[in-house]
Amino acid sequence: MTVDTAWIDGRPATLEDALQAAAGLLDGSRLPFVGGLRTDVAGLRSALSLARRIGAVVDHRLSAAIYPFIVAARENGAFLAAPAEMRRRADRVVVMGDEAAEIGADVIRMLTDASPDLGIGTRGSERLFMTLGSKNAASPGSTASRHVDCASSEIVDVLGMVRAGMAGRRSGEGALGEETVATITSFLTDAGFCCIVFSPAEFGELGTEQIFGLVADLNETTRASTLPVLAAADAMGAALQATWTAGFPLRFAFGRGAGEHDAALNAGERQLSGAGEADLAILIDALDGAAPAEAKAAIPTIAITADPASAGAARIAFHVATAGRDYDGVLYEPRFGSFVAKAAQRNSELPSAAAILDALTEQLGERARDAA
Amino acid sequence: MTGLTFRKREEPAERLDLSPLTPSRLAGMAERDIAALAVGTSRMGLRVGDVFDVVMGDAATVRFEGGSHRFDRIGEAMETGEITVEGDAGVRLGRMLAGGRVGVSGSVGAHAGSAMTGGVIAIAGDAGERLGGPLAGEMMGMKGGTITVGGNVGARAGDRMRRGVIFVNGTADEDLASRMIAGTIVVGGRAAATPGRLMKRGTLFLCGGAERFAPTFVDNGPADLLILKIMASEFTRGEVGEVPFDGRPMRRLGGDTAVLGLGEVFLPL
Repeated sequence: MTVDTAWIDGRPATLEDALQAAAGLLDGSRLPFVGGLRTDVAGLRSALSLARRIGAVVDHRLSAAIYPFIVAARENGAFLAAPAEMRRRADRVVVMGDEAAEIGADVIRMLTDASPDLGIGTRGSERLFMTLGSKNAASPGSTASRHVDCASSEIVDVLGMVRAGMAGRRSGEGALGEETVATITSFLTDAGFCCIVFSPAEFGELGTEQIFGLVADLNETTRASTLPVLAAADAMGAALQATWTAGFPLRFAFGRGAGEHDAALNAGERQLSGAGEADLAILIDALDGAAPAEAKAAIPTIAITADPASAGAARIAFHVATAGRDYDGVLYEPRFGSFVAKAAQRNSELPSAAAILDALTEQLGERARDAA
Repeated sequence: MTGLTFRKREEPAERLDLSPLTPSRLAGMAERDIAALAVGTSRMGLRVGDVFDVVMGDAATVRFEGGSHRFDRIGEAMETGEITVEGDAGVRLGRMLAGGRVGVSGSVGAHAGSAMTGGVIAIAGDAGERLGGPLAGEMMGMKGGTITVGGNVGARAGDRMRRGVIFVNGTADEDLASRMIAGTIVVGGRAAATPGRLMKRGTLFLCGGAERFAPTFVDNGPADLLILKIMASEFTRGEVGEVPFDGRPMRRLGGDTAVLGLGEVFLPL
């Protein structure tokens, strides 16, 4: 029994016919969109190369989850640490907001499992934790933890009060009383090295800027840094790779050759909803693990997916292998803050997303040569 | 003599970069050369002649007959002359404007007046997000000149504004004047939460009040200041026109004390 690997309008097709049909759609497109981008480094490299050739708009399916971090970091700067360094250096940890404990469970476990052994002021100390949020986000295994109850939506304002107090400026009445604000302030300022773990998506662009600003203020008198945790690690990997390839962290267009960035106009949600200018989408979804269901695209799509059942009404669909599971792949790993190689766990006859994308680029080249 | 007119033939299927169509760049150009200017943003390579009928005239005044939310970058870096748009305009209207006047009868997209240093932008309808604000990676937004908006403005108008005046007749969406460095913003209607977030200096007149402020804005009580009367009278005489405050005492808040706290917000008593 052979496994179907390609479909045209929902009917099984040979790989060659599907590639030709996809190339035909791309030839007739004014402005294609290359999105999804849930693939490994090789797949991303091929996707960006194809996007450049066809003058496409580029975005990752989950970039909205990382944009508050990217915008705040590039516009105001950021103190950022590696989890492995915080594990050895931080004597105080603030888990901020309601999402960090869930999204950053692995990172927080790295901090609760060890005590600081680096730094003159922090070596040998007990690591103290504070959770600031509407739920007690204390991690298992840490007894040295206290919780300050504060609605997630009020935290940015409370941090403003902390900053004002640290600088000797006044502030008005906020969600927490003066005494509680003073408790948070002293927890931060009395640290030898404080680490703030938070989810930027929970606080938005300005809220994230407030947190980075607070850490900058703390570094006037002590040491502090942050571990932003992101719900979409592969989106962060895609943003890094897009930056070293095209100069921008996703949401750019190759319509005029060189990449042009606009975070609002080129957002994938806008292009797929039909409100944008793209008239055809190539959507890549070839990673292990479930991603939130994508809204039905309002424009025709070419699906390159590890789960053909999810291809829905795609005009063309390709069944591909999963990177790091069906074949060796290089993927972004948030615990390392970088890319790591992941060995295959099983054999697969399916092609990789990179192989399909490269074949599509080659097909377009052949058509251009034939037309010339 | 009438100005040089670009008459829209039909709604474009892609966004257009109309930054080449400013008075100084069009001065002395032949009709054929103008029609050949590239304005498309896709690989189709659209040119002026594909989208507009060009009616030649004095290039000191450029007119767009029929607008579109896809007409981007109109009046970019213009130094002198006048551009009028009969209809809507897209993003980045009058970005980096240094002089002259840009008028729009409809509404405009995001980043109108972004990082402008002089001149006047008059928008009869609404303006999108980040009016006068910087683009990604830029350190300053509006640095001079005047923007007037007849309708409402989107989120974060006046972001990182450094100098100049923004007047909004209608309401302002959330986070007006975020990260403001200096300058003056007058809003006739109500401002959504939280105006002035992370502002260092600058002056806001919120004549319709605000949804709420961050606690790092401190109430200074009623302020009966001569400067309020002088400003109201100067605005009335200048490009802004009549403003919804007249020099009577107003309630003053100072903030954002999370950063520097030298900004001021005036509200009706």
